[in-house]
Amino acid sequence: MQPGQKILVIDDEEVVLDSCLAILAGGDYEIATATSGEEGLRLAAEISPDLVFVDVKMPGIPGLEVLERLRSADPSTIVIVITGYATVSLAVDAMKRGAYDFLPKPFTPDEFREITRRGLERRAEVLEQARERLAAEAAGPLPGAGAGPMAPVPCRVLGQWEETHDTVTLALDPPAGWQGFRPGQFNMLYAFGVGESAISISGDPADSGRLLHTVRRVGKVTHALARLQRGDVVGVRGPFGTPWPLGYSAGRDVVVVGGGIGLAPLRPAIHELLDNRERYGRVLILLGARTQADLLYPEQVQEWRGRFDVDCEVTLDSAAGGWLGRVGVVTTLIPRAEFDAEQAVAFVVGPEIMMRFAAAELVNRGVATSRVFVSLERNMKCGVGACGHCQVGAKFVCRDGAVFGYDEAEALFSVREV
Amino acid sequence: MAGSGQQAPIPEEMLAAHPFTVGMEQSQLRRIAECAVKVVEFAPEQVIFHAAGIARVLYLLRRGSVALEVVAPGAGTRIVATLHGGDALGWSWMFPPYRWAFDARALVPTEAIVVDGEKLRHCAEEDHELGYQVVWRVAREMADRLQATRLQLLDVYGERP
Repeated sequence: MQPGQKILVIDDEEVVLDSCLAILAGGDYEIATATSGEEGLRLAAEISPDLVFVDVKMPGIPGLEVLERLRSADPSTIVIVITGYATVSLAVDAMKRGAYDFLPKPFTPDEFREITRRGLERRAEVLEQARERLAAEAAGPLPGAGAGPMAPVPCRVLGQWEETHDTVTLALDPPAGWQGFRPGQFNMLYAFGVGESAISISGDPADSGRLLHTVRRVGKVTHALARLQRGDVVGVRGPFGTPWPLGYSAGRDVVVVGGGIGLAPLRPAIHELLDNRERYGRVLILLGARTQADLLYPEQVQEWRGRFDVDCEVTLDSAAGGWLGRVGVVTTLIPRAEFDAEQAVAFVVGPEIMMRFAAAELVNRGVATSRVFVSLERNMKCGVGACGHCQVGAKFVCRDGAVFGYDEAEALFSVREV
Repeated sequence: MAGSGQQAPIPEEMLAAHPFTVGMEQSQLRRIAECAVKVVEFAPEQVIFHAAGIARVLYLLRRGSVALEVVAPGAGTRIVATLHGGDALGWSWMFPPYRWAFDARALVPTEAIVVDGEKLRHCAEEDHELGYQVVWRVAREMADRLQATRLQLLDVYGERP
């Protein structure tokens, strides 16, 4: 919890308000109360609470409507619904309207304190993620894209090298005025005459002399990009998308889980973690690949494994007899990995199936879903949330992602691709 | 039985430190200790058991790495999984025909507590509560490895070269 956070309790029963005040007395936050929905909404507009408890059954404006209005006014407000008439359908209805949690009455003081703690912690996470998003947006599209974010800027290819049998890394000369990128962001790369594809930026954010993208040959555009040679020109739009929440991760253990080409969008974050090692708790890098030949950036992985201040483990799905390392899927590295699940964050990228199972293992270890972050790469086409191609539910992967908290992404994973 | 090692009563504390026995009662630990034969050390590349060999023991790995592998004609040796310190190696001792399904080879210096499988089965049949604890733990290992194996089978990382 952060000092001075504001809590608002809305309930028409004075005894409930008195009880909540008594339970939270002595804590480092400001508490306000209201006896009706109208009064509660008025107070909320004045004080901008971090956390609101609202009773469902009140005269005047019903509690669920108060919930919706609070969330509409400020989507970052954490609202917990309390009721003496708890049913499953009511709980589901409340969650659909944006409730963070549901607390049936009567509740014990410990239950109330615990849910308050979790609600305020979630509020702090939401605000930090919003700050990260704003900073990424402030970095903006490439200058020189004077025609707007849809005009690709020509960039020269400085070099190209094969990483694995189906993957190459392109090094581009950043355009004049390039202001850098945040780890986790992607560019739209345009192979002139062929088409465009969203490609994660895979290099060191501190390297201002070149812009790296690791491309897997899967379709017409990526094959064309992979054929580019030194001196060729490629169009670049970006950077787009949400970054990995490195600011929020300061002081915490960070578990990076990469499967296959999933290491590419994680590598910039790993650079930042290792270049600023003192800012973070334990740093773990858990990597999986099909075979040894499919492992991305093997020399760099060797460097990471050689550091004393990083736990880096690699596992292969399949190996020949000469392999002396681990064999098994990357999720098997999670159960015994040494980190404090109470405060750790995790960055996970790989095939969606792998991300789902890895996230499940992390949650099983006790990492909150809001502290597990994944990168979705579904059907991105325009990169700016205009074409709707990557829309999943109410989210646009290119604009609201590609980095999502697993608390949001879990529902998105269940939407089958069309 | 492969490996060099010392044959002395295995201290209960050593067994209690292994994840396989976490949560067991003292009396159950004592019975397992009575079934524990010795602590063995395997040198790198040392074969622990061969597929089709008689499965008599449970190895509780304390440290090191073991490859479970299969030799396929024309394909050479393929490692299907590796196990490490804290893992339990082998459950074929539990079920007829008590034959190992894969080869097991130490990849690095590896130490394990050897538990007499036949003795443990008899203890489990006499003491059903102990039997439940042992079977539950073996079932958990099997479930975890089955899930991991299914993920391996999905081969999610993309096209083969």
